[in-house]
Amino acid sequence: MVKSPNGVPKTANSCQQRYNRAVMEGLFSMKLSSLLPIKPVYAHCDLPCGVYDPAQARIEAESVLKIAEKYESLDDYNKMRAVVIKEQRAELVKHHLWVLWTDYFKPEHLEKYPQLHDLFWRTTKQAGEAKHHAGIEDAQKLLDLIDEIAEIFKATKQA
Amino acid sequence: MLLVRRITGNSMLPGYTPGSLIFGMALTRRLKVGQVVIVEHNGMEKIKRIAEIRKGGVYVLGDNPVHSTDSRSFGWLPISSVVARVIWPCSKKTG
Repeated sequence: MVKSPNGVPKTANSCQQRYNRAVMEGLFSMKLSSLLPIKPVYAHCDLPCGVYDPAQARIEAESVLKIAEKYESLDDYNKMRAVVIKEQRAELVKHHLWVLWTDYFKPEHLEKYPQLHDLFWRTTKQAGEAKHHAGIEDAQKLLDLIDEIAEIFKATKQA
Repeated sequence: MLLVRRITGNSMLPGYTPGSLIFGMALTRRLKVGQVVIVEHNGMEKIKRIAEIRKGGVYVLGDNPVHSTDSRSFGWLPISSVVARVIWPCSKKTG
């Protein structure tokens, strides 16, 4: 590990510097925003890729389930890793579901499938449950709910 | 003249993140390829990087080409559409 003159590892030092810089920029930005009306400048893309698929959420949810299944057989170190990875995957499930919910599904889909809002709400809540607990049942229920969404998604694609 | 703007959108990632502030200087010097500029197009101010300059026009691109609508779709812009050069933060395109 490369060390700086004061003995602190260089990587930690530069991480701290980046953190300090981000904090200062944030404070500066807040102060400036309160003093000046700041107009937006668009780094825009008006061509969304239009690629949506519940499979993304399902793959992450499968990881959550597999981790839950293996959890008890792991040693302490790998249990710790498993919990971190499971939580990351469950968070990704939420992200992919939100993208589908907010970007793919349109009002006409809701008219045809009025349960959509409730279904997404229950599924993202279930992703939270699977994140907080290591139970196989929670992970399996999450997969089942994603499959319900996938069925509706498939139907809208065929329509 | 100094301009302060807040970035909306992902087309200039990774150097310019959505929500961050930028400072621009109204043009006082000649434009150069590689500079990040604020251009006015379709009634909106947009942030892009100059990829090519020719007499009277600039060809601008986003740093994040997968998520950018730029000269690849709207073509060359007149030099007069360049409002300012971004002076802070200074980001060189990588990769």
